[in-house]
This record gives sequence, C-alpha cells and structure tokens, in this order.
Amino acid sequence: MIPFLTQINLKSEFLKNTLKVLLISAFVITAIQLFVAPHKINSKWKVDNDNFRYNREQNLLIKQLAYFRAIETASKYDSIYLIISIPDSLVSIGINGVKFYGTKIQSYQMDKFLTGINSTTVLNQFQKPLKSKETFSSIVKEPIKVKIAPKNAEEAARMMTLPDSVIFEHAELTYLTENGIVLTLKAREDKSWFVNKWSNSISQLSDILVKALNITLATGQFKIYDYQPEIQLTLDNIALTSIYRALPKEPIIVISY
Amino acid sequence: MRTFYKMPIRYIFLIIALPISFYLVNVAGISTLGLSEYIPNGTKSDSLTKTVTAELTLIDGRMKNLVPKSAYLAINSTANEFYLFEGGTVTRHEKCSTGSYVLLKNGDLQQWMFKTPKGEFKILNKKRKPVWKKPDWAFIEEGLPVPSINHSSRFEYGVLGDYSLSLGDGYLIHGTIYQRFIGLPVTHGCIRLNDENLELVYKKLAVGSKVYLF
Repeated sequence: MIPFLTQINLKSEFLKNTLKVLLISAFVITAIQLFVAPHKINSKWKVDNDNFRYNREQNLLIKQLAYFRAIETASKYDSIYLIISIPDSLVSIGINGVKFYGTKIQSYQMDKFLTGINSTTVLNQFQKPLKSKETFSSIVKEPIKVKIAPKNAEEAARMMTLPDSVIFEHAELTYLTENGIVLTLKAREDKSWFVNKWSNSISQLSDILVKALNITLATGQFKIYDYQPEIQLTLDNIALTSIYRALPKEPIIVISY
Repeated sequence: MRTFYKMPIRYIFLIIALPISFYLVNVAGISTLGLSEYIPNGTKSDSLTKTVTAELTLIDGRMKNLVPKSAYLAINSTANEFYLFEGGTVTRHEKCSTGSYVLLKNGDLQQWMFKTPKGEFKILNKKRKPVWKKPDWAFIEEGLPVPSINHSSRFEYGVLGDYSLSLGDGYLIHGTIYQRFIGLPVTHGCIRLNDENLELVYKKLAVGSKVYLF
C-alpha cells in the first residue's frame, strides 16, 4: 500500500528528531567519557592516602627520586633496558647499571595527563621500570639473510657478495606498557613540509578513529574507556634502529620527565 | 537558495567545533585531577626535602659504583661502530665490523647464524700474533671439504691482525687483512677493528674489562 504524502513527512520529521537526539546523546556520552577517563587511570595510578601538592623544587626532587629508584631497579635486570630522560633530552640504553649508548631527543610530545598528575602519583608509577607488554615496529629486529652452502669452490666464488654500504629504513616503534602508556619512538623524516603535514594528519586521524572506536566499545559495555597517555619522541634514525635492535623484544623502560 | 548556503556552513561549524569541544572536555578532565590534593604543613614539607635529598645521594653513589673504573668498550653492531670509555667518558669513537646476520644452511641438519651477540661481556684473554683455527663453517662456506680437527689447513696465520681479545664462545675482537670492509657488517660474529684501533683497544683493555655488545 502506498503511504500518503503527509505520512512520509511525519515519518521523516520523526526520524530527524530521533537522529538529533541520538547525535546529542552520542556527544554527551563521548564528552563524559573524555572527562572521566583521565580520572579513572589517575585513581589506578595514585597512592590513596598520600596525595600532596608540593612546591616546584620539591616536585622536581620527587620526580628525580622516581627516576633514580627506577634506574637502580632496572640495573638489577640481566638484560638491556631503555632509559628515557626528558629533562636531559636523552634516550639511552644500559645494562647492569651502565649506560653505554645514548642519543639526543630531537623533539617530543607529552600527553597532558602525564604533566597533570601530581608528584606522588609520578613517584608511585615511575619509581620502578615500566614493563612493555606489546611492541610494534616498522623495521625488522634481525636483518637475517639466508645463504645455502655452496656445493664447491666455484659455486662459492660465484655466490660471494659483500655490501658496500648499510641501508637503514625509516624506523618507528611503539611500546605499550603494562600501566597503559603508549610510547612512540620515531625517526625524523627528511621529507617536504607538505608530506610531513600530510602524514601527521593521517596518523592523527587514525588515532582519533581508534579513540572513537574504544569509546564506542566501552560505552556499549557501560564502562569508562581506558585512557592511554602518550609519549612521542623523535630521534635520529640510525640511533633509533641501533636502540631497537639492542633491546629485547619486550624491554623494561625507565621514564623520567 | 538560502538553505543551500546554510547547510554546508552548519556542517563546517560542526566539523570544527566537535573536535575542539572534545579536546576541551578532555583537558578539563585532566586539569581537575589535582583537586583532591592538599598542601602538607611546613615541618612535613622540610623533612621530605631532606629525606629525598639524602636518598638521591645514596642511590647516586651506588649507581656510580656500578660503572667500571677501568676502560671499557661498547660495540654497536647495527651502526658498526665502537666506543672506548675511559673514566666514564668516550675517548675513541670509530668504525668497526660486526656480524653479517647471514644464516648459512648446509642441508637440513646444519646451520650457523653469523651475528654478534648482545649483552655484557668480559675480556677473557688477550693474545699477540693470534692464529685462526678455522671452524667447520669456514670450509662449508667456501664450498670446501671439512678437514680433520687438527689438520694443517685449519690454521691461518696473520689474518686476525696483530692482536686478539677473547670474549668467550669463540667471539673475538681482532684485526683483519680486509681493512676496506671496516664499518660494514661482514664478519661471522667477531668484532674487527683496523690496525690502529686494535692496538689501542689491546693496550687499554685488561683481562676482565667489560665489553658491551648491542
């Protein structure tokens, strides 16, 4: 049966209103999620009965104490670990308490949450090395080349190749730590301003989409979404590749800021 | 006509305003984190400064004790560079050669990975005029039959340079007759230095000195 014209209008008006209500609800829910999520992670991180606000000098001392304690704990692990010191502008690696390689941080971006939390929370979270639970990388860990043994000396002579240079691909690493930090280390790209802006926009857009998806999923489960504070560092490509290849697959990380 | 212009402006406004408002809400959430904090009284605050400063001094002392007092070496097997440290500072930073990451396969049963290991090592012994006793893979790689364990063809003189420093498990720091390949990943896992650097490292590092391979 064909509906009357007035009925269609009514329906479309109803749909319009429903859509408006849905959009406003989505906006309100997203806003609530974005407001509450930092509080959720902060309540996980902070110490319950030790929530002081100190002066600037004391804040620096407490942050330094967190760093020193973490470095000392890391020195007891029998594997190479990563040290990120924003105040020194240095990313280095060490083992058994000896820092043997480092590189300057060329630029960095720090999540506002990390600078917004108080010093006792920083001490509570960063006085021990952070354990990474997942690693993503744009380069291989070991550049293995398989060679089949030659059958005789002539074949060996034909197979003989020696490199005349070493090629370093653009490196970008992401470590997800157990306490929820997303640490991204990437090499500086010598591309044009436009290409850089374009790739930054694409990566920001994908970040927003991932965040939107997480918020939607959490809302569907009537939960507050897990806020993941981010730290992004830009380093020299060869140094970053060297650091990545030196570290174990899931390294421990000391962060000071 | 009016509606035609009105719609895109509304959408453009929404596209700009939405992310900004979400960003501001997020910032508001973060900036309200410290509302539950309180300022400790003067006495507690002063004792905290003293306690923290004392602990920092203690940890700093313990950490300094972990740094080797004698010279030590760090070798970057990705960039093929070495760093000689004396008194905690780098006194020589130059090229070297490290493992090629070649995986040599001889049938299904035998394979060797030519990579420089990673971690903390020690100089176990030092030799002048070292002689290379070629292992099985050196013959297999050249397509030659593998001789008996002490056959004369296994011993090569002069190819390791004037000195060698052993790190254990057959890994050496040594010289080379192929000096043009210094700086490239061409070795079977050992560390090759040019003659001048080899002599310096041989003189500076004692048996027991630390070597950090990464």
